[in-house]
Amino acid sequence: MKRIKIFAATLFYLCCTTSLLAISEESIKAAFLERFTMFIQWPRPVESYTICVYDDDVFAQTLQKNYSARLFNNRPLKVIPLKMGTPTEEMLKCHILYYRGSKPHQNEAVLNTLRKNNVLIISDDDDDTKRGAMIGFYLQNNAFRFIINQRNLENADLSVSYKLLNFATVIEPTGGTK
Amino acid sequence: MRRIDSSIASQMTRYLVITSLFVIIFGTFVISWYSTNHEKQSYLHESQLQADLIVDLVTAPLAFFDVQGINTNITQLYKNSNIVLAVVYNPDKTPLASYNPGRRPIPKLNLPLGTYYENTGWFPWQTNKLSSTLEIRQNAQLLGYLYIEKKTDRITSFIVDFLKSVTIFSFALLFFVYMVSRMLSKKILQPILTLTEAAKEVAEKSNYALRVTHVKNDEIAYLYDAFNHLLSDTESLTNHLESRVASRTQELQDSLETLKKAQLQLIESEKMAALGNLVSGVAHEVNTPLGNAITGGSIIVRETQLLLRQMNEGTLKKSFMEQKLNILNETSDLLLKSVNQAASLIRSFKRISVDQSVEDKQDFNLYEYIEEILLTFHNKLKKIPVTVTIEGDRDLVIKSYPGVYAQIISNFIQNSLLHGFNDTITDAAISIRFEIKNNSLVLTYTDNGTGMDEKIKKIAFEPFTTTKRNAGGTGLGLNIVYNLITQKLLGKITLNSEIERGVLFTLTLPLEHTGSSKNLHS
Repeated sequence: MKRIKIFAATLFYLCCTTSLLAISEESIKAAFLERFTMFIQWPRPVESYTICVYDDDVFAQTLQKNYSARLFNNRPLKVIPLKMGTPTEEMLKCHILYYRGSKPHQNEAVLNTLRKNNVLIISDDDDDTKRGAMIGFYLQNNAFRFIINQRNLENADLSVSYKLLNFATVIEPTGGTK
Repeated sequence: MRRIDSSIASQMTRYLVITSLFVIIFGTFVISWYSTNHEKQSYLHESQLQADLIVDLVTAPLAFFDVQGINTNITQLYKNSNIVLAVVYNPDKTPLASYNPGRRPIPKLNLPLGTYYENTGWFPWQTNKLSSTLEIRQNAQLLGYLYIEKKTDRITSFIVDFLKSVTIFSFALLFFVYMVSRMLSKKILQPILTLTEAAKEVAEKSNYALRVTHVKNDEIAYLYDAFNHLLSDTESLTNHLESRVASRTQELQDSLETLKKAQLQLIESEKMAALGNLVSGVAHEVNTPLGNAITGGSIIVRETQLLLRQMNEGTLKKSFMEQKLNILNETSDLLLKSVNQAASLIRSFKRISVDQSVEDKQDFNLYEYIEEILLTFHNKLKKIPVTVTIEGDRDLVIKSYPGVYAQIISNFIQNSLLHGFNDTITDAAISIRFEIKNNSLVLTYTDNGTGMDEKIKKIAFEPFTTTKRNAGGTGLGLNIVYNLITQKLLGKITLNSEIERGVLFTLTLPLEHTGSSKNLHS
């Protein structure tokens, strides 16, 4: 717990006293991923988080490195880097699927499969929230922001806190919150 | 006429108003206490909810390190004028963002968690500010702290508004109570006032024919009926009172006349008895000298006839003559003494008997008169025997009723002889003393007889009090003495006596004038 506090304080120090770009984008996004898990609830209790990083080894390494010595939202973290062309079945093990740049094959059948398995799909591109992703990052005033597609979250049977919805930019709102 | 200091209506109104005032003050205090507490709790609860809402608003920006987002969210607090300070702290309690329109110093976060009033006094309305310190957590992860400080103007204004309302209500209630009490007292008291007026009229004018009427059939009607009944009875009694008084007066007068007659008869009877005793005494006393006189006369006749016969026969000797003449001389002397004694006795008896029958005042020598009275008891006194002593001025002459004195002293002596001296007494004595003191004759009569016990002493002067009724006592002696002293001589009599220590009668008798027998004769 103390480590988390120190980490959060460090982040605040970084974001508030220096330019956002002065620190690693991967580190910030890794922290954001952890924060998402605080506000999003899976239908089944999660004992340890599994994050699949599609075709972004740098981010996968950063994530693994940042949370190797500490817990991820109070739980162990397992990071699975996925190569391009990895079959969809591999992705079903993940709680979170993150991708940037090259995107996994996205047709309606694959998306349905991922939704059925309650996989939280996070993209580095906010436009992807219109194509199946549930959360998409974008940059605004040198700060990372994100868009949430509430419909997609609900379709994946993932509950999201109203606090997060109130903070984020929400598309396709459903009105349901946790 | 009695003056009414405070009417019942005023008292009733005063009591009701005072009671209402007390209830209002007490009620106001209790209600204000309760309401203020309730308002404070409500404000506290509301503040807690508000703080929770602010925590919700800043949780996500805090979680995603968005200080600008935090500031944006808490800046909206300006809409709530009661919030004077809101600060978001890091988990290490360093300030991160704040809403501080008053530019107050940011406090260090060392306050206990929770929402509470600060600087509160004993009374619930004594408070200064409200502060809330909350943790900002998400999924059990501590993200930071929120501190909010609020004004309590709302509570103060609530109390002011409440007191204004209560004051207006209290005055209205007091006025209402006053009016109701006046109305009630008038309604309840009017019949009583009517009754009071009626009673006053009856008291002042003795108008017992007056009647009061009451329309309703209530308690007042009972009171009126009782009052009317009382007046009716009083009227009836008043009407018959005069005739009853006259009748009773006549009865009393008749009784008084009867009593007076009976008293006179009794006194007359006693007087006749006394006279009877006197006659008996006279007969007894005169009998002896007369017997002596008769004896003497017989001797004189016999001796004279003897001398005459011897003188006629010529056998008379000188020696015989001398012997018979001596006898005749002695006998004549005895005869003369006896006759003189009888005459003296009769004179005394005559005087006493005349005195008792004559009611005029006379000048008489008291000492000699007492001696003459004693003379009538000479034989009876000698028989016991009784030593009688008289002490007083031998020359004192008073103007009074001698017969009354004779009757009084005779009664005393007869009582002493009859009741005082029994067979066991050997040195019976009677003492009569008199002296002039303060223009009154103080006469004391004492004997050393058996005396009286307390019971007899208390009723000694009452009529028909006797211990020797079977032996001829009438029980009227001392009663007559008392009446003679108090009514005839206008004096006083006291009695002291103890068993076996005799009696002491003290008579105090006012005198018209006194003198000495020498002056009287001159």
